[in-house]
Amino acid sequence: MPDVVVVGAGMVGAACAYHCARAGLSVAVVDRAGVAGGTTGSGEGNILTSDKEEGPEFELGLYSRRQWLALADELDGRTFELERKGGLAVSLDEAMALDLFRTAASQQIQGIVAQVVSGRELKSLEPHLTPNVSGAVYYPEDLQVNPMQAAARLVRGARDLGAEVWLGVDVVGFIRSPAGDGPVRGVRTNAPDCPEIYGDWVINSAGPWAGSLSSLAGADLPIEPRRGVILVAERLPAVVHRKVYGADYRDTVISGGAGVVSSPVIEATKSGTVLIGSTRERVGFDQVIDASLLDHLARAATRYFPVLEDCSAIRYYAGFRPYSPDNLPMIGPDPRVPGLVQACGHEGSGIGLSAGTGAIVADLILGQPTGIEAAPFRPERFEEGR
Amino acid sequence: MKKPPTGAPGPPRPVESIAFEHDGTAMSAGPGQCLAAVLIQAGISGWGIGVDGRRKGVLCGMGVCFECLVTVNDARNVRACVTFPSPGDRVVTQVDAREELPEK
Repeated sequence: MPDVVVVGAGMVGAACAYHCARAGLSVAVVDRAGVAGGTTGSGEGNILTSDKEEGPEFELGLYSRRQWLALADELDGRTFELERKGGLAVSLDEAMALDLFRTAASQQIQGIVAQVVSGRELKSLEPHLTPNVSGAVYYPEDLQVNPMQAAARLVRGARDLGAEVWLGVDVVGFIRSPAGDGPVRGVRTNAPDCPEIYGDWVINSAGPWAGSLSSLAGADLPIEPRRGVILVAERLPAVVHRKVYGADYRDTVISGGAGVVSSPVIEATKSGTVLIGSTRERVGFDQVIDASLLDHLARAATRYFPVLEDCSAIRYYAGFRPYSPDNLPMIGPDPRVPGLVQACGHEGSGIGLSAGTGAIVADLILGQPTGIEAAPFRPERFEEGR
Repeated sequence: MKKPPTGAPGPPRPVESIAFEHDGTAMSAGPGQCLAAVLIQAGISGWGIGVDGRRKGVLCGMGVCFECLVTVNDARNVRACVTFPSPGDRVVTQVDAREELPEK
C-alpha cells in the first residue's frame, strides 16, 4: 500500500511525487487525464525571482529555484530544456521605469541579482528590442523549462523509484476511516481496475480543480480558475533571447479583478517559436476567447520587438491558473481533514514554485524540518478569524 | 431548396505537372499535389532539421502543427502540407537550430 497518493500529475503533483519517492515514501500518482494535461501544459515554464519582492512567496521562489537546480543536476536538466536564459524587465514609459528601478533596488537588498542595463549592454542582451526603452533591469537568475517535459521527467523519476502511475483515472471521492469524517485513507476512483487507491496521505495537487477535489473531503479551498492566453508566433531564428517582461507584469499577476488585465511577456522556446503573453481573466473554465485579445497581445509584442511585425502567429492557447485570494499557495497537511495534504493555489507561478513545494510537502509528511518557513502557506488560513 | 455547391472550396489546384527544385534536385509535382506529397513520393520523409538536429516532416498533414516547414524562394516557415509548388520554385531544407545563448 502506498504511503502517499498524489492527485494531479501536473508540475506540482509531479514534484510532490518525485520528492516523496526520493525521500523513501511509496507513492501512487493519479490523474484523470494525463501528465501535464491541464494548467502545466498551457503556460510558459517560468522559474522567476524577478517577479517577486519580499515576503513568503519570494522566499518560496528562491528556495524553489535552488530545488530546481538540484533537480536539473539529478535528472539532467537538458531533458526538460532547462535554460539559464535570464529575464529582462523593460519599461517603455518613464514613470514605470522609476518603479522598475525601485523594485530592483529592493530586490538587490534581498539578495537577488538585478542589474540596471542600458545602451550597448542592453543591445547585446536583446539585439532586436525596440530602441524606445526608458529603463531595463536584467535578472540573470531567471530560468525557463519546458513544463510538459519537466512534469513528465519527474513523474518518470518517481516511477523509477517505484511509484505507481494511474493516468486517465478520475478521483471521485475519499476513503475515510472511520467512514464519514475520520482521517483520509485513500481515494475512490471511476476506474474498474483500481476503484480504490489506499494511502496514509492524499496530496491535492489538482491545480485549478483543487477546490472541487478538496470539497469532496469537506474542506473548502478558495481556489478559482484564472484564464491566461498565450499567442504563439512562428519559428524564428533567435530574435528573442531572454524572457522579456513589460514593467507591469507583476501587477498583472497580483491583481485580483475580474476584467481582463494584460501585460507583455515575450520569449522564445527552444524550438524557436515565440510565446507572447500574458493575460488574466476570471471567466470560469471557459475556453472560448475573444479574438481582440490576440490582437492586443500581438500589438503589445510588436511595440517591444518591432521585428515581430513581419512574422505570423500560428496558434494560441488558453489555460487556467489556480488563483488564490491572498496570492499565496496552500501547502501542507490540512488540519481540518487529517491525511489530506494541500499543494495547490500557485496561480501563474506553479512551475517555478513546484520544486520547492514538493520538497516542503515531503518534509512535512515525514515530520522533518522544512527548508523554509511553511506556516504562511497553511491551507486552513482562510477560515481563521471567521 | 438551395443548390449544392458545384466545386470544392479552397485555392485552385494546378492541373498540369509543375517543375521545381528541392535542395538543387529537379522535382515534378503532379496535378493537385502539395509539396509534402511530392517529397514523400520521391522518398523524402524528413525535409527539415529541427533544433535537436533530427529530421522533420509531416505530422498533422493539415496545416495546423507547423512541423513540415521548408524555405521556398528564400521565404522561411512555408508549410509543405498546404503549399502547391509553382513552376521554378526553389525549395530548400530549413534548419531550425538556434545558436546557444551566451552566458551572461
